[in-house]
Amino acid sequence: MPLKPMESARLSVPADETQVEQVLDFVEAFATQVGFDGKALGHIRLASEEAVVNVVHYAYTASRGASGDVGDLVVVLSPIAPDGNEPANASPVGMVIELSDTGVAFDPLSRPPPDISAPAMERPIGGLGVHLIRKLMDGLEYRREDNRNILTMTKRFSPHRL
Amino acid sequence: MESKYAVTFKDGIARVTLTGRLDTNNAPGLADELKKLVGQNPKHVVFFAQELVYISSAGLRVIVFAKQKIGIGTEVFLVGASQDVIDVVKMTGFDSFVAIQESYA
Repeated sequence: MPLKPMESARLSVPADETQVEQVLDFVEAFATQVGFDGKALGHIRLASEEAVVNVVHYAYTASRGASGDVGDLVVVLSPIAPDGNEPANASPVGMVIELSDTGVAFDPLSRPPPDISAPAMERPIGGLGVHLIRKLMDGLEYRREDNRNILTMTKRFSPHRL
Repeated sequence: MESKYAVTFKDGIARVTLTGRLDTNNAPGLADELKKLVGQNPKHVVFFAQELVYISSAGLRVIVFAKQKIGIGTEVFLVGASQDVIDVVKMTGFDSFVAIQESYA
């Protein structure tokens, strides 16, 4: 079923727990339009939840304590166009999810990965979210730019789907 | 499907029935419920997951909590989980200390 080429979509919400569901629904709706379904769609939603929750919990901790205000979480979703000699109206081959916030500089990818072979009593509880995102998504990058934390996640259709 | 959980504790066995999703929204509430078991040393904490469709790291943390903090030598079971849920558990390596089973007597 060929899909029309798509434009990017953007959503900005306060980085608050009450907004998480709305952001995830936004991501899932876009992913569905791109053509993801089933397991891949579930993976996109789960990875997005992990990333969004990290921002909600950590990005504005310092300012939240003082004034109770939180900053924004900006979500930009983009289709990935096919490479090479595809016609101009070819369907997307995946999507990019970019989350950014103006919170404290924090690179979630700089933490050491959890030791998943460690016995139960030695397993620390932190670091799980990023570990899951790495497993669920095809690409994960962080950069700091213009006082913003920018986390970029990429998911492509698996080859056998085409 | 509405998301909810129910906890019972009898004869040293804590049974947790999960429905819908276990995620950032409701995992802290379940953690609070399980904290009440600290000191009562349940032998087993059994998560009945037949109706569970989605678990995120927040939900996994509750399972870790059950294993690490509730009692000494407490065994944790994940019963009747879907393949999707089992996949997420395996991605984090938690299958090494949670018994994944289809049923629990």
